Amino acid sequence: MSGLAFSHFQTVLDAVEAFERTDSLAALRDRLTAVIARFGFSHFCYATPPTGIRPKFGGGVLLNGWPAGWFDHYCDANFHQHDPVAQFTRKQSRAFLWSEAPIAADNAIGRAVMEIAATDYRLHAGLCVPIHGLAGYQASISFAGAEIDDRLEARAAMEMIAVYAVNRCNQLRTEATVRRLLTAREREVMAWVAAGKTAWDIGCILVISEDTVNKLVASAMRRLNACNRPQAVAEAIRHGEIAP
Amino acid sequence: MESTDAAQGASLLDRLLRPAAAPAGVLIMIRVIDRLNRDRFRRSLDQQFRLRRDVFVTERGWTAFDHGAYEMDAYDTDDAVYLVTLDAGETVVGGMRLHPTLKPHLLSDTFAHMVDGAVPRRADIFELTRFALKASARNSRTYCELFLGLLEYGLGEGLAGTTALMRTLRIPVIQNIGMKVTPLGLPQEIDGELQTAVLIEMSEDSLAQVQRSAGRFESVLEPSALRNASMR
Repeated sequence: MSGLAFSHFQTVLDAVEAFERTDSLAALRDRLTAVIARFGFSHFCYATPPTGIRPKFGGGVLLNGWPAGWFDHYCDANFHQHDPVAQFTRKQSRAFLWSEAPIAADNAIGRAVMEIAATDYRLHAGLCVPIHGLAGYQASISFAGAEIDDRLEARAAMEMIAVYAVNRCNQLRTEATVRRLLTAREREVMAWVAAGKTAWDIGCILVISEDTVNKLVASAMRRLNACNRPQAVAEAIRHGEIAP
Repeated sequence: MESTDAAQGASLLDRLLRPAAAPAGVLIMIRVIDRLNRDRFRRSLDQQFRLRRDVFVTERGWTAFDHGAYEMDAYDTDDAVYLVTLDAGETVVGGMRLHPTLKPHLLSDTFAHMVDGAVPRRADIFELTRFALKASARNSRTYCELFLGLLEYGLGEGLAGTTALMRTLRIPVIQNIGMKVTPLGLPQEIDGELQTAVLIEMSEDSLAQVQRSAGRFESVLEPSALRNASMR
């Protein structure tokens, strides 16, 4: 990889790690906004397309990093119906610049959407990354700013950043709906306890002190309402905190 | 041929609560083919090469690897391990190839530039290539089950992970089912597709998540695979 690619890759790795450490959607949104600034992007929006059951754009937004005014304007005016980027992304399997999304000759509102974004909200340029699930196109995450770095290496880095931000967002949203008793760390330690490892073993495996391991087990036991470790393991499995 | 449901005598309630059953003729189990049993499973191995021809040569246009009836390359050696998905008729409908990274492999020989730093070469890391599903078997359940096979096999063999080159925008797809993917370098264009070198982790946590995605919590490996592993 070239020198530029190398430094961009480091940015990606740092971002992946930073996303993993976020513990709320708000924190993820702030972290993502900070990361993309490096490439000239100031805002982003991660959203699923409207469906028959949920026809309004707002309802499908998974992580909103748009300027407040723009988001409201976009939703109120139902811009999604004419947004050339929204139309183009459904058929794409690769990321593309906003400038690459064709605007039909008769789509005057579509042209207006792009102009308003640029003029009123300084979103002059953008990069849209389509996200696919097993069943095909699922959602898009769009990044925009006044002056973006659209070179190949920057775009490659942005795609990876998008992939990991989306992944973390989905994890956080799932975790929020599934009632979790233990913290991630507690869960990790209990999984090793369930595997028969001693506190010392676990300390070596996770590179933390034996004392810390014992503290984590104790707090896990409290949350699980368990009197001893075997019971804690059983309860953790019962609650789906660790695999059987 | 009777379904596994009937064979296992699952209650009506079980069947109602379970996610929709796989379409008929899709996965029953994953077979592991390696140097110890490739003679015994010659037919499956043969079907696997033909499936690869259909998917990689015919569908994806990899004409450089066209060997007539088969798609093959320099890494289809005795060191390769093939995981194949068998349907109810014991026909191969999907598969992948694993290759030790301590030996020369695709990433080290041809795509080292895709990796930032040294290409991972460890006894507990294999390279994953030629992941393919027959068009008729491309559904979420078969897809998840093939990854279940990979995880079960990997965990059983003590693998920490597998390296792979994958299309960048397929990463969210496998992350979605529960696989943990770490990038090894920036995405780069290969033959008109944006690809990334990655490390896919083997862990109990991933196994549990993919099991939830697949709606299948028992082993997917052919029982004899477990016997072979203990023979080594």
